[in-house]
Amino acid sequence: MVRIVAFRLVAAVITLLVASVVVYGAIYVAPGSPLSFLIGGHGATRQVIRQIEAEYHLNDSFPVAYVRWLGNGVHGNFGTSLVQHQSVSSLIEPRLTTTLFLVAYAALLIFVFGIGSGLLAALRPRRVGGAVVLVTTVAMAIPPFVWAVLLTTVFAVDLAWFPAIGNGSGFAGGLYHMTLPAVALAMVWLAYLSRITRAAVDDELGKEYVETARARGIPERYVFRKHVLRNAWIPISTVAGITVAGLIAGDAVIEVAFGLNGIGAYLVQSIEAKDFPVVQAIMMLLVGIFVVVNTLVDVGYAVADPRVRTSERR
Amino acid sequence: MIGKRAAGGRFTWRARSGSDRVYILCLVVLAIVIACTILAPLIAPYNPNQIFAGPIYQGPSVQHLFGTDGLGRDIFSRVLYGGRFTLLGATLIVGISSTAGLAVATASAWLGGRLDAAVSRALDVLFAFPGLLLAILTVSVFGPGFIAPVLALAVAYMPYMARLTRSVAIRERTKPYIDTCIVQGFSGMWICVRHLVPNLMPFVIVQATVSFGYAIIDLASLSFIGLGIQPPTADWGLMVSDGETGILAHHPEESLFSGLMIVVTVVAFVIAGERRGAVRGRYL
Amino acid sequence: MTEPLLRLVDVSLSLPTRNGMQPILDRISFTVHRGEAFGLVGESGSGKSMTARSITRLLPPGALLTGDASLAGRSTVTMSAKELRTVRSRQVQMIFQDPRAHIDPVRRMGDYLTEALVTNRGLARAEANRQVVDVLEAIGVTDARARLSQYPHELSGGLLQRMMIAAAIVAEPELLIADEPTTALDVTTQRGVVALLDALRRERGLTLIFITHDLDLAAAICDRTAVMYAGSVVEVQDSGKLHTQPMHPYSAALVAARPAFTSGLRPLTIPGAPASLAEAGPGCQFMPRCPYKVKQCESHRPRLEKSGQGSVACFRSGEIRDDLAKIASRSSHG
Repeated sequence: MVRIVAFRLVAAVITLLVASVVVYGAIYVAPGSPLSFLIGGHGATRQVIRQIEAEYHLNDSFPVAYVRWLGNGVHGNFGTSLVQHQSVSSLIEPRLTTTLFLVAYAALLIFVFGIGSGLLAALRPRRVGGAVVLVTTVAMAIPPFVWAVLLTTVFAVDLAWFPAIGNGSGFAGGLYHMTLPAVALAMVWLAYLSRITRAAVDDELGKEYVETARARGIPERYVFRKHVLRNAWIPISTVAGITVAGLIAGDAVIEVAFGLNGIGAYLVQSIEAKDFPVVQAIMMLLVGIFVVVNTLVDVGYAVADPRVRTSERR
Repeated sequence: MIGKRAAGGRFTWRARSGSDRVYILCLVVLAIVIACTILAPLIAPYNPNQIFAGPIYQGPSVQHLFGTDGLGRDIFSRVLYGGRFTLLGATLIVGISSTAGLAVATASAWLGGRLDAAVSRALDVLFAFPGLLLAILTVSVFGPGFIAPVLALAVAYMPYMARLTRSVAIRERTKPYIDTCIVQGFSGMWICVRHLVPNLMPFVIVQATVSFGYAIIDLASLSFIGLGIQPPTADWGLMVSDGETGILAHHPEESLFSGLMIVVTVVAFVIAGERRGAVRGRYL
Repeated sequence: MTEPLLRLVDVSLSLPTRNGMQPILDRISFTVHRGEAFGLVGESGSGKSMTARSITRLLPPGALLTGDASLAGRSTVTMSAKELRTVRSRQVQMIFQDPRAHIDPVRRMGDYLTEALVTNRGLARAEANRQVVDVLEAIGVTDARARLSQYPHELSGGLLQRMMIAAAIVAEPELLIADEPTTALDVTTQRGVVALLDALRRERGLTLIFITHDLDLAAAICDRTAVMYAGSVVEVQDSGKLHTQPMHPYSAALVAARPAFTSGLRPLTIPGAPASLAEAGPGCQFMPRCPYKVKQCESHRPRLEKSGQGSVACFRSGEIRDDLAKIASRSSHG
């Protein structure tokens, strides 16, 4: 068991390192010299040049430069924005709250309604099941940005129930402004989780060991909790990992669509403004979150399913 | 003598059987969409980039089937042309990633041993990058457009095909008909190409079909946030974004029709892929 | 004579399928006495498993059960879900064919074994563990305590089956139903399990219903055997007499079909394929394959009727008795 966790941690670290190499190395792959690329469209004053060279250690060889850049990053120093002339971390921090709020909101919706509707569909197959399957198939095929547009059209413009753009202030304001974005972001994953849940629970309900428990007179509620859910949780939690990937990728799109001031929108803005230090920082942040969550899911999977533990010993 | 219904709760999952009609319908829809895209120059009533072909923000009418956008361009014509880069891009993405994935996986499964283990680890690492993020990174380096995102997404999709085909290839490799070939002295390469790969094709096709749908979504998303196809080119994703101002002015036609095209195409691909997989008894 | 423990009278069952309700069992009737070992034999699809499940209503949703099945005088067909649960937890226990499929793979053996005791009888876990270990040791499982913390995938099929039996025994049931408990096991392990069941029955005064497709296996352990075909019981008899003086053409053929070392004769195969109740017409289900059929067999289904010490469902049973005995003797084991 410990071996599994250690293995996963090592894999996670390796992945992060590779990602960091890619993110850092991008400036070398770019057309032109790294320096000219970083300068981009910004004025090439001596001060700017010196700043870039210092932060990127361009005068050192690649491996050395990379390690020093990485060292800085680990300490939270992501360099200076070429546009705002402030430290990147100070620019990211406030926006990070918005993004985390949005993602958490979306995640909540996904788990509550996704798992909820899936369970309902499995337990009431005749009335609810078919409908849920149909709705989820269509819902899954509508990309988040189309959802954004749909929801905006119906709820923000036509019905004017929710605002179309902006962050909102404070918690309640945030909740209000973020509802449509959170729903748009969550929809595809909600539908997917619903299907997986329904399939998993339905599958479990038919399992022979569930029949055994019933045959021994064990109350249905207990059977459901201890056997059906416990086993169904395994495929459901795997989906949780994939969901995070989707949320991270979709988050940028949703933030742009709704004019939210989060790190996803900032990423896009920075690309357009050629503010590469910011781009790198946000990229690493996103990949980092993604890897961490996936690792947690993998470990959780091993905890939940004892069969995995033995099979891992190759 | 009394009758009694027994208790329990069990659902017979039946939707996957029958309904070949749905499969056919999807194929028909796809054929229509692809035909329209290819034949756009012949079918489109207006030049898609011609501004003020009609008054701005017109609703659907006889002259303008889908209405006009904020610059007076005919939305129907733009929608017809709008699928070109998206579909072409998705084709390239799926084509490249499938071929590369298949090649890598087959070689890895065939050669086995350390190479296989190394390839698995490498794939695991590749999985760490959500496709869209990799595409965004590529765009940040090479600028927005068509080729860069397509290549980036192809790289991001490759591990999915590779993982699938590798597990199937490993299973097939142990089968007797492969042993027969080995015993008869055929080279590994020949066996792979002539025997292994054809048996993997059904899985490849199903996965490719479904991936096509997701590739369309990713490309459209990229154009939506402005990092893909650039204006004034007609492109579905871009149109959804452009149409946002229209929505606020109570004229959602541009966004809705282009969005609808995306959804219909993606649904058709995904359902067709799933049905094909189920019909052949192999649900991925 | 004391009241029988289990009495089935005209129990019929239909199950919902893609094509509507399909009949599965037709008027099953037999009785099982306390302390007896009763065999239920038939091919796959004959309905033996469903018969057993009908006793405690372990049926899929939408199943329609008619007739009367009473356990120690109380009808299980009409009782409430709550009463049923009591029956299932205290009076009747079932063991199944594939132990690996029937034990939850993500929980430890200890959880599985004590689950019923802890949940249904409110025993403390420690006490439940103790009782379970006692039973495990009694049936010869080594390292009983250690086994409790193991997972199913760490144990062999034979051991799992024994543990399933232990779980059933620890609940101290009056009736134990074994549904093909040895089919998934290799021959050597089979004998061990069968011997175990037999010993347990004698020691604890259990009543046993043993379901199998293997006639010999049934004969080895059961006092009386019922033969089923396509959803009906066609014959009930003393196991020994069944082999020498079968009363139904199907039983005779079944007996004769077993290849024997000593006889030197080729095994007699029954022409045709086993039918299902749903496909059968109004007459006898075995009729299409029966060499003794007459007009009446096509239009009327014979009822199970007393004949000597047993019962048989065949219009011509009396006349063909000697013929059947001859057929059965074709594979005498000596």
